[in-house]
Amino acid sequence: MAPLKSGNSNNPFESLATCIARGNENVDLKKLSKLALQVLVSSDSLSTSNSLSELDEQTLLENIKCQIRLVNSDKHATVFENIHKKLSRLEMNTTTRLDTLKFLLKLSEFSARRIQNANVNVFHTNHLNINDNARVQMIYNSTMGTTPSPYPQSSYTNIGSSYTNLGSNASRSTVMSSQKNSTSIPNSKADNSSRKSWKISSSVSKINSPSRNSSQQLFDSSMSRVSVSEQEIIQDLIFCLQGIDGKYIKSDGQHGFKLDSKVQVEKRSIVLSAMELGYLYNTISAYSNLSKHKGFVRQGLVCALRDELATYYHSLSLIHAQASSIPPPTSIQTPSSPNTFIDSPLSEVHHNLPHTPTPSSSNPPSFSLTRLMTWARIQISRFQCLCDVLAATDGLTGGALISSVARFVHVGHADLQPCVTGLLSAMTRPFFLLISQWMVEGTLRDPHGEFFVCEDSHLNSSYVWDGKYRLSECKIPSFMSKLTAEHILRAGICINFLQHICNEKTPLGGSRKSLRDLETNSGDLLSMVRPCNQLSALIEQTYAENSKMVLNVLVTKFGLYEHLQGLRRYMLLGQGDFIHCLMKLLIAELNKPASHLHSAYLHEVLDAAIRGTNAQYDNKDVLARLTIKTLVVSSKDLGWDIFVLDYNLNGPLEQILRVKDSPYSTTFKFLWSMKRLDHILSIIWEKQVFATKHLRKLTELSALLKQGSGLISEMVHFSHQFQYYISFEVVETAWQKFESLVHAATSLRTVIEEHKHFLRSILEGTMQDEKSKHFKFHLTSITRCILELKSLQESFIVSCEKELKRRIELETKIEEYGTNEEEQRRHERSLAKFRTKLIPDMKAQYTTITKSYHSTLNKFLLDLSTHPNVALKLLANRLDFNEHYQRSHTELSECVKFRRTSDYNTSIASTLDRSGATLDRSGVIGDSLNRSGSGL
Amino acid sequence: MPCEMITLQLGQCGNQIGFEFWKKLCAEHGINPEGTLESFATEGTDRKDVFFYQADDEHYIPRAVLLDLEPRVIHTIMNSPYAKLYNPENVYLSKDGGGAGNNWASGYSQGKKLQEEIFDIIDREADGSDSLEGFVLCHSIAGGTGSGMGSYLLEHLADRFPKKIIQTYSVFPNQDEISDVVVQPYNSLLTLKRLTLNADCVVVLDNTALNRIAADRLHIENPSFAQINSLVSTIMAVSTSTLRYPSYMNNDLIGLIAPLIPTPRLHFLMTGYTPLSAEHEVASIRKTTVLDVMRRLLQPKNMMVSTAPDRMSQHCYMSILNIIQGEVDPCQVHKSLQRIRERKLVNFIPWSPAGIQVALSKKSPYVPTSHRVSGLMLANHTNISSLFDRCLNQYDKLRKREAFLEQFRKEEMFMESLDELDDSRREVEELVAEYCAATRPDYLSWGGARTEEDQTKSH
Repeated sequence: MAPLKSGNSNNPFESLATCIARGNENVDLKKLSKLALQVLVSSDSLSTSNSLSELDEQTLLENIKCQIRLVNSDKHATVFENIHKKLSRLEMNTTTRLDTLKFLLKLSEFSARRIQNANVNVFHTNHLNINDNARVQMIYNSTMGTTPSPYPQSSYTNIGSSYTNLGSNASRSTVMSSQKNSTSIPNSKADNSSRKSWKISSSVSKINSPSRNSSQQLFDSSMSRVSVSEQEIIQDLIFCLQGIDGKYIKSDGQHGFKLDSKVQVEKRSIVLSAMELGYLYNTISAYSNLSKHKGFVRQGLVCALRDELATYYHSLSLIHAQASSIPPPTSIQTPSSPNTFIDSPLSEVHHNLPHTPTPSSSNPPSFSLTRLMTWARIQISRFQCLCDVLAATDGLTGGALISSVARFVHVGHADLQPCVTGLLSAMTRPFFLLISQWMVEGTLRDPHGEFFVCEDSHLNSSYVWDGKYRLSECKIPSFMSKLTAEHILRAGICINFLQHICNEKTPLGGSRKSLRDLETNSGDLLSMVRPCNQLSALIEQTYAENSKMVLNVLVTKFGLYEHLQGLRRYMLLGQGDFIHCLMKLLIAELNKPASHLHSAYLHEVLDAAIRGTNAQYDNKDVLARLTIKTLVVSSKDLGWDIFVLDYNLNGPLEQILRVKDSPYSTTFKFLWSMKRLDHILSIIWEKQVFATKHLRKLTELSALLKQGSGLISEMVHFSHQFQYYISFEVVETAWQKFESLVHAATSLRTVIEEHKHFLRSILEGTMQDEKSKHFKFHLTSITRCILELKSLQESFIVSCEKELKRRIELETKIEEYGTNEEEQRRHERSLAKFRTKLIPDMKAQYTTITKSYHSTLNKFLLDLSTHPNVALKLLANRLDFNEHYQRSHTELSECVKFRRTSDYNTSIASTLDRSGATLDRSGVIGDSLNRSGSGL
Repeated sequence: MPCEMITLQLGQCGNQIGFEFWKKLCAEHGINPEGTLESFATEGTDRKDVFFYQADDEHYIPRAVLLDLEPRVIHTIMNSPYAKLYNPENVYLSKDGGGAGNNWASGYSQGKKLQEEIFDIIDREADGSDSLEGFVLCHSIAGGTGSGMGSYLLEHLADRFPKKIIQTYSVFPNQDEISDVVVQPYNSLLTLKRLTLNADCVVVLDNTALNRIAADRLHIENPSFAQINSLVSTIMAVSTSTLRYPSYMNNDLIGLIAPLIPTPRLHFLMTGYTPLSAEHEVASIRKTTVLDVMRRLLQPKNMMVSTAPDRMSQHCYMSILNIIQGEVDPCQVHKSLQRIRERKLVNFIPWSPAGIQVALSKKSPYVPTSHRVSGLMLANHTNISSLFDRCLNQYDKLRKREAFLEQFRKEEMFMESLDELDDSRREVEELVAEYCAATRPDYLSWGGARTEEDQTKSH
């Protein structure tokens, strides 16, 4: 039985056994055995094995060993096994042996539970034993699919899960500590100091270690024990609960307390359990007294803790009063112990009450330890919870701090929830103030960097709207949705923008007024813990209102819509007559080298173009923004290369539309160059028409003129279809969509987003984006062809007109003077020169241009029809509406065929058949197949 | 700096359609018959200065020159509420007032006689514009003044204004009724030659088709001139709408007609308009989507030129421009074009890329219409040659009998010979031949019937 003695000292069985062993006559054996019996009966109901009577010997043996292992070490289990062997060797009735074993099992269970009871924390006082815990844990794991973690990970775990999590935590620590108990070296201090964060287990081990220590010593030298009465120990405990050293209970210097090992006291375990409260109190009070706490949120937390402590003091003072106000009738007024004069928070209470240090133990105690423990247990659970919270908040500030506390809100315990809620409320109050100030006034008063909206100091402050303020996600309280945080950020930016950029007054009203009211009524974020709450709704509402307010200001005072229209009309060439006029006025000027351009003259022309067209009726403010920008000149540039219209938006609108950084310039340059092409072609066409009329007399030219006209009409066709595509299918379509969205928009953010989208779609549609570089190349080649044609046509017309003039002169000469042979010969010579030299020469040049134009255009069409963008594919259809190019260009027609049938196998088969399956050809087919494949 | 257009109205028919045209433009721009802007029209985005200019007293005055050799139509105009609209200096009536007697030769020689006075007016008008783009000539080809004097003007406008576009709205006579003008075939042929050689763009308004449309589609028995002219004015107004309501494209006349006319000589355009509804008739409610409009425009029954049935189906479109007005989503246009292409609803020339161009134009906000979308088609179709062929046939019939030639011989041009008639015939014949050639793939290398002949002659 020796190993079992290592259990608790006030184990009735142990006492009974010692008494019998020592033959101590003083002790009332009868009383002791009765007590033991009671315990045995009561522990029966808690037994892990359902009914002992049904168990066989082996099972019993295993159970006992299991229990011993729990409490002690394997060694003790082996000792027990040996004893059992001896027992079985004795001549004994099997039933008797079984009964003995059953008794031993109960005994072991009892001692195991004693240790548990001291260890199990607030959430599991007495009600769950290890096995139950493990079972709950297993169920939790299997249902949640997570491994148990010391802290809940998601902010919105349900109450049940957080309960079990904490439970698992407790159970694990219990196992740990009980294992530690079994090792004979008391090293919990060293163990504790090695841990960085203090956890529940450490606090438990601290309480256990003295108990084990004392019991060990008790076992070793029971002679040096000092017996202490219950009243005395209560007195000491009350000090301990205020964090003050008592007579027997001393601080261990680390918030924990030690019971003097020499002290012998009844209900030692209760004392030890109650001492835990002292430890917890110390921890909390030490925390709340620290002055280094930075940040409003942490100050709020400390404030709440102090409130909590005040309540604690109050209730402790009542206990104290009760404990000391009923002196035992035989008490002798002895000088009170010096401890009572220590300045404790309860000293005032002390002074008013008669001090009753009662060392006598013979009288039945009027205020029992059990009663104290009943009260302490509630406090322990509260403080334990607070300590957990504090542990979780270590090193955090602001929003993150709130998040860490918010996790505990879902505690299921009815007493603890208000406690945590109170904490959270106090903490979020300053946080709410930050939010409200930001949303109502647009100001950021956050000296400790607690708020999740933060200012980006790197960025130029000129872009308030974009980038200056951003969300710091780790600082968003866990119960606040990202969306709400975003709303808060945006709402503040709106107000900030209005005040600082638009210089607008923002009268308090609507939801902002409600927020301000909440702020003055010291509102907090507590309600936000529930998913659907009024506060979130209010924030959303405020955001919507602020957003609308900004939009209204921009629309009414800064002419947002007018300027968007202005951008479309001038930067995107929507005002056709103006652009046409500008083109007409500038075409000669821009053909000059870029360095010869005079900005003053350009501006003059711009003004003339405005005056001469319907642009003059446009909004004056819009026109005032319109200006000319010349890009940086490089050596070979022509005026065309550097000329760009510019729309000079300042103030709030520039802030949000960012015209300077946006692709308006690029787009304008492209559209302008296409307009130039169109204009050049108009001139060429016109000249061709006049030349055809004019040179009718030179009949030999008709074929050449027709060839020229054919090429011109091809180019005109291309230019017009392309212009149409750009103007109406890209720009106008995007604009119509954008316009309707903008007019329906309720927030500026939508406008900005849509504006970006609008520009992006135009860039893509006009092939100005990164992906369409090769199109740019084709378009440049086409432009080159057209310019070549222009100069060829010019020289052609000049030489033909010279010839025409010569012939007319000759005719008049002949009419007047007649002719001679020499004259006739000269005429025939120049005629022959014209017909055999000039005409074929011109014809060859026309053919060259036609060829290069065709090859470029075919490549362009091929690229278009194999492009993944359907709009561009359809543009290819438009450019080749009557399938003229398809007929003359095999690769193009192959590609289109692939697209039509979309059945590759048959297409390949048929093309291979037709092409005779030559290697060269199949390579081309494969290529076009791949390209069309990616297109589909 | 608008691209101004000066309208020249010649003869009875020209002045009548011109009158309707201005009436329409006034309504569309919110200008009242006196030339002042209506109060509701002060904030327009339309361009009025293409066709109007503002007098010192802010009156809007049409850039129009009204010419006639007999006073009847001009008197009617000057007695109408619109009398004060025109610049009285621009209204020119021949002093003898005898008219041209439906004789081309008479009109031509009177034009020659009056040229100085006429060109004075035109020059003054041209000087009054910053950037004159061209002239619009309204006339009929069958009468005397419009055809004869018109021909004279056409020949000399090109000399005087070599860099200006000359567009004509030429009314072709009704073939279905017997005309009281017996020399109509001569007149037509002679005018056609000038239209071929001197004009840059001819919009053919065929009275035959217009009357048929009025009767069949608008259910008007015996349509009046005013009713027909209202149709004509609609076509004229819509075809100029992109010039008057600036947008991304087609803001000048060249931009509009250049893609329509691939080779300069083939510059005769057909028109079609839908939906048609007469003024007296409550418009039948019909679905008007872009596709409907574009499809209907391709139907021959909506064409305002009565071409001969193309039995060989060899004729084809050289180009098409659809001017679509109303609430149009560019996407719909796109889809419609795709549909038309896939179903091969249009037959195009084989020798060059061609397609349906679309110009989206605004509608006047001041003229209520019951149709959501309306469309005008300007098309260059080779089958228009059948119209000229018909002229040739009628001419040949008359010429064979040497009928009614005395009146012509009276005039200077025909005193010595009738070569001019033969010459004109050859010119028109060649035009027909060229149109037929344009249906073939080798058109661009087609040298023309007369070229070789000429070359041999000059050798």
